[in-house]
Order: sequence, then C-alpha cells, then structure tokens
Amino acid sequence: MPKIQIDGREVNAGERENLIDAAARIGVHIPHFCYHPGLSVAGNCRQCLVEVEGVPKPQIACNTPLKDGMKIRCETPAILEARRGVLEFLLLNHPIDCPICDQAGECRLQEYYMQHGLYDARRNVDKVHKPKVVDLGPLVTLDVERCVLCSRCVRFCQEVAKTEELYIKERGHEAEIAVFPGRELANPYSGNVVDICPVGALLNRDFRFKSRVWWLKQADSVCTSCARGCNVRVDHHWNRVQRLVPRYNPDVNQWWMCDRGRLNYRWINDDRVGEAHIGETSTTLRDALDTLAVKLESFGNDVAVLLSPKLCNEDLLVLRHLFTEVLPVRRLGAGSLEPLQPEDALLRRADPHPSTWAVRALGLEADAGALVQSAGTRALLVFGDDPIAWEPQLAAALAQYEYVAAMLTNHNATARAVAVAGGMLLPLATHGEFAGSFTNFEGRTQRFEPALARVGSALPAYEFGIELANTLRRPFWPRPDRVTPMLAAIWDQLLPPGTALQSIAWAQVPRDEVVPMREPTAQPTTRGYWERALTPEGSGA
Amino acid sequence: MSEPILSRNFGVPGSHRLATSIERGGWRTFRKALAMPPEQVVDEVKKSGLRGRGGAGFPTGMKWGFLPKTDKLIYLCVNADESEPGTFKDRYILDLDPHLLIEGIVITCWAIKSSDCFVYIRGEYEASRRILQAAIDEAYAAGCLGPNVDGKGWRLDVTVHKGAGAYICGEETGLLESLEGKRGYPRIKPPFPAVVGLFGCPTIVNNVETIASVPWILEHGGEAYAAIGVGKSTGTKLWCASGHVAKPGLHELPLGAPFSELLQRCGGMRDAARPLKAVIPGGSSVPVLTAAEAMAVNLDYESLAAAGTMLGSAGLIVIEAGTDMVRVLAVLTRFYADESCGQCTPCREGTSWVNDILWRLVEGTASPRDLDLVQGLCDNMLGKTICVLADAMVLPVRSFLKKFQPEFEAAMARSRANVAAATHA
Repeated sequence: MPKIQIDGREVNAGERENLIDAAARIGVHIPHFCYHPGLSVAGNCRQCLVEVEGVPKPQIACNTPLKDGMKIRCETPAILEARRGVLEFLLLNHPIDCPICDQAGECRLQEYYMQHGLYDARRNVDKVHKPKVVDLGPLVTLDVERCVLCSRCVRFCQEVAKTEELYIKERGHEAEIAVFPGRELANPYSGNVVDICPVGALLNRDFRFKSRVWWLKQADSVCTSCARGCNVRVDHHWNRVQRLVPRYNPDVNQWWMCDRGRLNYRWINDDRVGEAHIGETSTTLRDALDTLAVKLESFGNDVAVLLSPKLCNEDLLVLRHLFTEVLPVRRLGAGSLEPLQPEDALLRRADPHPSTWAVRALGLEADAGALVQSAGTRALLVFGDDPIAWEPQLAAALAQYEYVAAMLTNHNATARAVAVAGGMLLPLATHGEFAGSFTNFEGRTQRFEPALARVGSALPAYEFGIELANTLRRPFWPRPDRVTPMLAAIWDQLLPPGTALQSIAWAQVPRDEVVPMREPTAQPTTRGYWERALTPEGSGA
Repeated sequence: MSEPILSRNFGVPGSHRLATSIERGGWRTFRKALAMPPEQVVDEVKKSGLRGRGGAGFPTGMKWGFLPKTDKLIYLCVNADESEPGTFKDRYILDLDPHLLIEGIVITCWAIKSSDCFVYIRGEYEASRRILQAAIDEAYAAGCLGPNVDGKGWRLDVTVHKGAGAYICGEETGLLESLEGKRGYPRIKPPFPAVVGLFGCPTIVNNVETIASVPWILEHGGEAYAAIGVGKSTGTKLWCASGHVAKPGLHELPLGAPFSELLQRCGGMRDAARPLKAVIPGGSSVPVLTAAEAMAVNLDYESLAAAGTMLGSAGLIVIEAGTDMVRVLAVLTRFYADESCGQCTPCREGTSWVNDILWRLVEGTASPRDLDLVQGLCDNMLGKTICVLADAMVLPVRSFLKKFQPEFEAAMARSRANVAAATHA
C-alpha cells in the first residue's frame, strides 16, 4: 500500500491503483480523456500531465506507477500551462459546434476549457475537415471532426466487447476512428462507446437531438431487461424517459450495460394504460376497484391469479400476502412466456425477467401458459407482463372464465384480449414511476427510485393490492403516507419466514455502491465562467 | 585513421556473398564468441563502450544487462527501419556487407540468450531486403543459422520483416507494435522493452550498425575497441554526408574526428563560391549548427552535445551559403507533420500546426504573431508525448529560429509587406 502525497495531502493508494483514481478519492480531479478505469491505459491524450518530484519532465498521471513516498503536484504553474497547451491542441481542429452537439453539457472539452483553458484562440490555420455523420452501426453515429482520438471506443471493442470492430485509420492529424471495412459496430454492447466517449464524437442515434442534457433529470434505477439487474440511471424530461445510461456498480455491471437494456424504455413512455377500463369503456379506478371487489366477493376463492416475474419484490410480497392470507385464491402463481434471450459472459442473461429469483424464493413459480389455459376457476386476474403477445392462442382461453381482470402497463395484446372478453383493464405503473427493489439472479437486492410522475391513475401493483384489500373491507395495511417506511415495513412484515430472500430492511438495500457514471469534476463546470462574469474585474468594470 | 571496422568490405566486388565474406575474414569471430559463456560476451561489449548507433547513443552492453532473468523467450530485434532524413548508413551495411550484420546477430543472440531474431527493415529498402534475405539463406545453408548453429546444438532463427513505410516504426516500441501486426504506435513506458517487449517477452532492440560492430569487438576485444575514439565515444562511426558537398557519401571515421576532416573527405563544398552555412549533424531531428560551430566541432557524442546538438544517426546535412533556411525548416517540419503517428495530442496537432505556419512564412502570408506562436507551440510539445517524434521536430525548429533569426524576421517582413500591398491595392 504505497503512501503518496498529492498536492501536499497524504493518500494511501491501492497496490495497483491508478493515480487518477487515487487523486479522485481525495477530491483532486486530474483532467483526462483517454484514461478509463475499465480499460487498459493508453496514455495518448496527454491531458493528465502532473509533476512527480524528482522527475524532470511532466509525467502522465494515468501511467505513473505509484511508489511509497512519491510526491505528486497537480497544480504547479508549469502543469497548468501544460494542460492549457494540450487543450489548445485538442481544440485546434475541433469544430466547436457545441450549440448543435448532443454532448454539450457533459463534454470534457467544455469542462476542461472552463477550468483550465480560458485562453484567447491563437488558431491561425484552417481546420482539418473530416466526415460528419458516419453511422457506425444501428445505435452509434460518429462525428469524426469532434473526435479527440482518445481510443477509448477502440479499446472498449477490443477489451470489453471483444468484437474489435473499431480501429484508427490514417495517421497524424488525418487520423480518424473507423469501423473495419465490411463491418459495422453492431455488438450487443455498442452503446457503451457513446457513454465513454469524452466528447461529442460518438453519439447515440436513439438519443440524438432528443434533449439537451442539462434539461435531463436523473433517477437511479435498475434495468429490468434481464436477470442481471444492471444499475442504470434514468435520464428523463417532459415526464418521458429520454435515455438509460449505466451506473457504475463493481459487483453487477461495472461501467456497462447492453444495448437491449439501453433501448428497452419506450414501453415506459408510450401506449400506456392510464385509466381503468371495463370492456371497451373507460372508468375511474375507484369504480373499477368497487366493481372488482364485488366480483371477487361473489366468486369466493374460485379465482386464479397470474403474477409476472417482471413485478418488483414489494409487488410480489404484497400480492402474495393478499391472495394467500387476506383473500385466499385457488390458484396463485408467477410466470412468463417471454422467450429466453442470448446470454454471454459479460452481462447478458438468458432469463429476460428481473424478478425470477424472488419469484422462486417466494415459492410462486408457475407455468403461465398452463395457468391461463386451465386454471379451472371462475375468474382470472393477471398482473403485469403480456402473456398473450408471446402465445396468441391464449386469448381464446380467456373465454372459459366468467370474469377476467388484468393490471397492465401498456395497451398490449393481453389488454386487447381482455377488452374483447369484456374484462377489466387496470392501469399498472412501471418501475420508472415508483420506488421498490429487484433481486437479481445472484440474489442481490437492488433498489430503484421513481423517475417519472405516474401516468393517469396508474398504481404500482403493491399499492393496488393494498387498495383492493381496503375496498374489500379486509384492510391489512394502513393507507400509505410516506413511501419509504412503508416499503421497509413490507419487507419486515410480509416476508414469509424461511424464504431465501433475506430479511433485508429497506434502508439497508444497498445503493451507495453506486457512483455517477461520469466522474465528478473538481468544480462545477461553469464556476470559472460565472466567477469571471460576476466579479467586477470580469464584468469589465 | 585506424583500419575500418564496418566499411572494410564495401569496395570489394561481391561483398554481399558468404564466400567473399569468409575470404575477407568474416564468419570467424562467432565461433570464438560461441565458445565463451554469454555473460562474458556481454562483458566484452560493456568493456568496448559501444553505444547504440540508432540515435540515442545508449550503451549497448548496459542495455543487454537490463534483461531480467526469465523463463520467457528473449527476442532480438534489429532495427533496420532507417528513415531518418539524411541517413543511409544501415543501407550500406545491408547492401554491401550483410554477413557482417548476420554474424553480429549470431553473437548478440548468443550473448543475450535469444534464439529468435527479427530484422525489421524499412519498406522502401526492397533491394536491400532481397540482398539481406539471400545472405540469411546462405548462412542457413552454411549452418551458421538454423536449428543447430555451427554444430553447437543451439537454435537461432532470423526473420526479416518489411515495414510499410512509416518513420515512427523506427521508434523501438513502435517497431515492436508493428512487428506484432498492430498499428505502429509507440508504447508508453514503463514497462521498457527489455522487460516487456515483443509479444510480451523481454526484447532487445538494436540498430543495424550497432550489431555490425559486435563481431570486431569480439574478435579484437572490448578494450581494443574502446581504444578507438575519444572518451566515452568509442569505436568508429559511419557518417552519412549529404547536401551541398562535392561528393556526398558514406565515410567511416573514428568517433572524435573533427568535422573539417569529414568535409575534406567529401571534397569540400560543391561550389567554392558558396561557403558552408550550416550543418545538421545527426539526421534531421537534431539542432542545427552554424558554419562556425560546425568547423569547430569534433564528431563524437560529447563534443556534439557540448555544441548544443546531438550525434543522432550521424546523417550530416551540409547546407551552403545562399540557402533559404526558412524553406529548409519548412521542408523538415513537413516530414514530421507527415510522419506523426497521431497518437499523442501535442504531436498530432502540433507538428502540422507548426508546419502550416512555416509554409505561410515561406509563401509570404504569415501574420505578425506567428513566430512567437511557433515558439509557444514548441514549448507545449517538448517532452509531453509518448515518444520523441515531437521533440525531434521541436529541437531543430528552436535552433533554426535562434541561429537564423534574421532570415525568419526577413521572411516575416516579406509577409507584412505582402499584406500591406494587398490592403492598399
């Protein structure tokens, strides 16, 4: 464990820790483009120059092996001048088209210019022009002029995705990133190159021109596209998800997420069930609850309930309690008909559901097809998912029930079949709209936060379960006042003894293992600018 | 002048043939070396004071001593990617005495316990490559290379690999990357090639001329070699004289010979009416010397360093009076702008920026701040990159601007006049 000094402050660095990371731990941000903790060290951007005592030339922090007693200085006049010089070179052929660049607002060039640049332009030669909108693959487009040739994307494709589509062609100031001839950037993780691109060169075609990043509000969430449960950040605006980006979690997804997960958010934005319907007619949720309560009372326990492994832990706990203790039903199970997905050693899991582990732990696992096909009950309740999309012939099976109700997020095939059968459609909130937790395939429980306002009268399934019990005049839970204590209480009180789900209090569900995707810079981006603008000297007075 | 060491066979007809080489005393020393323990061969080279002839002048024996004790393969890479402007010494060895090099390779590989040698040869040296390959084939056939070198039960294979025309692949780590089939990007150090080199194995990279000096050292002993030359600059050196001399060409001189002697050997300046103006002594990447400085300097590592320049690859570019130094510098910087690999930001952008400015100066379209800007850009490039390509441009640029300042100011005045004329037209 080398003990080093950074700007006079002692730091106990890890054995093979990178100086940039060690400095970040004590709040010293050493500017850099090419270094990324998840990739090999390239040392080519030269932005992270620091002074190492006893070494005459400035050294790049990213490739300085740490030795005990080493003294590093990051802010000497020579180093600040060197940083400014490197930035000037980087910006020489950069188009500086920030007003039309998606990266503006989260761009290293902008941040560092404000912190370390602020020079008068000395450029007196023509800029080198390069191709502008080069679609590298289905998800990623490249603006070659904006590229700083840090080679992060090339190294990502070599080292993480291991698909090696990208390379650098030409040399000197003509050099540019390109896909190898005859190939395209179509690996299952291609979107990550956009996240790690420190400038606006690689852009997400799905997000391009959709929103300025400074409008985006952010919520920590968990990807629900497979059993891995990658930590994601929901960036939203106008109450719509604008993009999903991975959050760093060393134990689950490191810095990455797959493209399928990244693009799997449109169902949250569009074609949502916003209010209750009986048959083809919309109605209020209150009416629907009253109607459903009357129906359920009339059927006694001759009811089948199909839950989905896409519901969160709290949904499963409450509904399981409701339908086994409060209003016991004849058949209760959770299952899905969604086909398996391609799996790989990096992140992707074949199981496309976020809650399979919890479903099994609670003993709810069931064959969804068989349950819908032949429950042998008078009524069927479906919570979440879209079984009929995966097996259309199940629509006919709905006819055997006297009554069908489904609580769904989207106007999907199941919703249409329920409407045709004259059943009840209830609006289900997505995990983007409430707080809860998922337990991934390893048994790791991770919480998610609400990002969006709920659509119409949509409710999370657990709140609906509580409301339904109240409507049935069999209340087992007080009306929720504050969300978090209630969620904690759900875990405390409804977890069946002896289940494999650990009895984990809500507050303990880890979320501090999460750090922002983009390392925070030492100062707010625009501080230098505003200080200049607002002080008397800066205002030209 | 002592007997020539490297150019001994250069004038001999058929000097590239094995038979001629043997007849002239070649392929004799390697037996002596192979009878010695490898450590002793290294010691002999250390004693000789031989320094790397590629440009940096690092002591060769010391470099060999950096190899770690390891179970991994050890590689020898011979750097024949001779691309430094004004330099053509390795080419002579490859063309006229390839067996000297191959014998040197055998001895070196024995010394560093390597069984695999790669000769990375400049892509444009196609004729030289064929000659070298033919010589290697002869050596294989004669049992000097191959699975059982000279019946010693020791394997040694030599592979010639042709570059594709990039100056940067002459940088030792760029060479290794290229040899591995990758883009010729110099590597960040540490680790150094002696520890992690070719294919992750310990590797020694030596220049052709360095390796070609090894047989003589083993034949006559390190001390005999150290007796040639001056001080820490031991042995002889091939000097490539080009430019405005009467007879450009290659000359072998002991280190420490005065520049005037070399100039005399070249028959003096080509035009008596145009005296010497400047000399770039070590290939284009070193600071320039004025005529007065050049005539006073001795050609060895220390004297050239004391004169504020470097021995480099010993490619002397002689420049006569009347030459436009602004244009000379612009031609030089164009080379670096063209050859920058583009990996490091300061070099990628800086070399071409400086080059663009200098050509504006040549064309008379520069703006008044441009000379200061060039100085500033040089400050921002020097010592801030992975390899020394940027430094190799900065050093000549700075020395030109300093030593021929009036010419650059005159060029600036022309630019100013042009602007004024255009404004008032």
